[in-house]
Amino acid sequence: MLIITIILSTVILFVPSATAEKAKQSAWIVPIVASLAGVVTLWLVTHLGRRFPSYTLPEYIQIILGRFLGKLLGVWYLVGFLCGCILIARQFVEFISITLLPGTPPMVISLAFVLVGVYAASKGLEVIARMNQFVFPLLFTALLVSFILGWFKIDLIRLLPLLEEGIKPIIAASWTPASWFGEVIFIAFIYPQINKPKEIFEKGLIGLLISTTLSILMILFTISIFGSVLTSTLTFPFWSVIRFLEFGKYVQRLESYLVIIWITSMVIKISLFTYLASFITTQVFPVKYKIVLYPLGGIVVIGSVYGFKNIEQFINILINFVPPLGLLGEIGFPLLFLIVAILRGKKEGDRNLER
Amino acid sequence: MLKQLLIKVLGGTQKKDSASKKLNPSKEIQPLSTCFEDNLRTLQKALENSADIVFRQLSVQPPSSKKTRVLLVFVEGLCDPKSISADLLKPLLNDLGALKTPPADLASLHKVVLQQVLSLTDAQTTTNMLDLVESVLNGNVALVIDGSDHAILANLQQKEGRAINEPDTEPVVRGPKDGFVESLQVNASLIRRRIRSSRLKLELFKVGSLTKTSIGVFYIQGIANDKVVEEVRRRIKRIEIDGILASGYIEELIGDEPFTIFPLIQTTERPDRSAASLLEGRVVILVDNTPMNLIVPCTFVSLLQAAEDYYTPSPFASFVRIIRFIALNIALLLPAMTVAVFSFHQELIPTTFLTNVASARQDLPLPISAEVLLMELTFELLREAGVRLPKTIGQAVSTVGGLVIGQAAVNAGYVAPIPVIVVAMTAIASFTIPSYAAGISIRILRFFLLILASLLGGMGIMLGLMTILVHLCSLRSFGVPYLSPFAPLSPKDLKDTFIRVPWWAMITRPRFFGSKEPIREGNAQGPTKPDKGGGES
Repeated sequence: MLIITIILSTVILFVPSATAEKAKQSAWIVPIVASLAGVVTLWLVTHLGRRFPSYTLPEYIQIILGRFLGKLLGVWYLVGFLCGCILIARQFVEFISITLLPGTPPMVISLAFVLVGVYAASKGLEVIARMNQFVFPLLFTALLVSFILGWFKIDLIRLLPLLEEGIKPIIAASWTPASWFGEVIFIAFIYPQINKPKEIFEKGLIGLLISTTLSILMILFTISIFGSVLTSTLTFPFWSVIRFLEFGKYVQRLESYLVIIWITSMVIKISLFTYLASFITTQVFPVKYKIVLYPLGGIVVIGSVYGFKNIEQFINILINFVPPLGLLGEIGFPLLFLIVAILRGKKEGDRNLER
Repeated sequence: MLKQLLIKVLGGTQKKDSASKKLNPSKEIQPLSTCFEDNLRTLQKALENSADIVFRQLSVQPPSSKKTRVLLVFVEGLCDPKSISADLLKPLLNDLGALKTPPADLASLHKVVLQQVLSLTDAQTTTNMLDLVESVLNGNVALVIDGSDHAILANLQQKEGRAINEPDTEPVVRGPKDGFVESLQVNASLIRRRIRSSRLKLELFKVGSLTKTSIGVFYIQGIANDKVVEEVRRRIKRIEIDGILASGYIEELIGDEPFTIFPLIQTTERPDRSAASLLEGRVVILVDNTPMNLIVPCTFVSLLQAAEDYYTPSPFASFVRIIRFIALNIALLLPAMTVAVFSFHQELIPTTFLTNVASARQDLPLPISAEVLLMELTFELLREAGVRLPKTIGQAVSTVGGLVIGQAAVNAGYVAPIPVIVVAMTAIASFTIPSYAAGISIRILRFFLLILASLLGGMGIMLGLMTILVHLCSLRSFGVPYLSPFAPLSPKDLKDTFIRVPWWAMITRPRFFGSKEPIREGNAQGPTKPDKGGGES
């Protein structure tokens, strides 16, 4: 049962941030295409997981590809998740310093944020999953309420003309969100810790389905309220949508509620990523979990503050640089692993022979 | 890392071995002698310089043999003098001589005395001198007979203590009004009176090398999780300490997490509540000399449940629960929110109100965060003063503090009215939390969040809340996740959280207490309307 909430939260919780910074005029079909990447990753991961039910990804790639290459790729994933952490922290800093605390130095925000994430990560995976369970209903109701209130403001005409330039721009735009959906790869790292591994594929699909639906809805609402031109120019479109909503004279400024939810989901996300990054380190190198955790947190803070010059560069990296590398790790490598594993006929139990 | 450091600072685990040797001298056996003088001397030496211990020597006349000396040893005040004279002295002096069958010899005299002479409900024999001394100090009367190496231990403890009256800490409007008292026996009987089943088990432990306090562990066999019961046993046996004076000692010694501000063990003064917990499959720990008993495992939600909730009608109980939950949020968040909104996010205040506030704040010397912090501190001061003072003066303190200081501070222009309102609201809200221990953690967290809010505004509050959430998620009480039934979610058990479903719908026991017997009542017991016209035909 651990897993469904993790998928739900990680994937869904991504989407507010994802769409908020990304949703281009290429519209609401994007998540459908993008979620295919998630499905493919999920399929690969569960198949690999079934072959090696008690090993994590960094462990079994050492079996599949041999020690050296396996370790090398383990480091690659480690760096990937570390960069993921830095990106999350940077996203958080950007958003908070624009919306909530304009005068506060980014170092302080990042430090406070990462500190909480590291604290959660130090408590282990189970705690992170339980946090999810606690927070998820809040997130869900928040989105639901904003959709209901947004219903009065939408103008479906703005969605037309549909598929004006054909299918190509949509596929091009799906590139970035696809890498977000592909983040279900994290299941590969916690596979041995999942309670009911057999149900993982179905549960994961449900999670992907719900998150896809929610992101479609969010983009639909954003575009049908603001129109595609305005949406593409706003930094955080969905946030602006929520800000725009009101109900009578009393229910106003709903964006503060969204920000609350968003902060909680970001904290969960960074704690999961920090956990994974340190966890992979312990599996690739013979070090203890707690010893790795704190330095990694420090790297994340420094990276998030000094890694980028400004938000333009940051978004540029997020859109152009991350997707190819991300998708390579999420789909390309697992596919390779699976093929090699099948060709070389490796399964669990071979490890003893290997050594 | 911090935790390990703290553990080191607080007394270290390495010293444990040497400490345990000192605290628990291995129990040796020192047999009684058949010589009366020897026994008397040993006893007097063991119990010397204790003015409250009475040595009473008699001389009795068993039938058809010579006079025999008998020694009575007891602690004055722990034993009932009336029953000593009625149940011990009288039979010994009068009835012994009237026995028809004379004892075979002096060595078996104790058997005759025990079986045929004394009219006691609880008496036993011992041959060990140390047992004898311990038992005398526990309030028994020891009877040493000349020529016999067996001593009789008669339980004539004086039941002295407070009468059973309504608990001060958990009053109810509807429901039983008896509360626990200091005596473990009385408390156990209060629970036994409510659950008259042979499956209700009570295990006794003696803890404390000097105080030798009795600890009783109550559980219902077949309902309570065996693992939890075993864990309780193990943790109580593990305790090595010189003395236990109140259940608070036990609470800290057997808790799961060494450093947390949340109560991981529930305390109660109500027997009905303890019985209800037993029926849910929990374990109740009674500590002698304390009216506050412990219930494990404990969840966060159970701290927000009052005994009253189960006696009032379900809709009302649910309403009160929701109010209480809102109050919890106010007590925790209101001061922090105020500071965050007024000093960081003024855009959240409606414009008309904002101008009011701005003009009111113009001449104030302190920023709002300092104001709220100051007022909260003042309130905590008043509260502490009110608790420690005699009750009659306590009221004067609250009058002076609340009315005079609050009003005067506003009039004098030191603080704005808003912090005063906030602090008053917070105080009232925090009084609705049923568990005193939970109230304390909320008080501490309020300051934590207040400081975060004055440094980082709304984001600080959110990050603070997340930290608290992480901490709560990581807590376990005797293996049960502290945030059950929310995380991990068990939907069936939500019936007793924000709402309290009617009793006819409370079909299952809470799953997270690991009940082996999940069903607690029959299905479909809900009140049904009688058939129409059923009465006429």
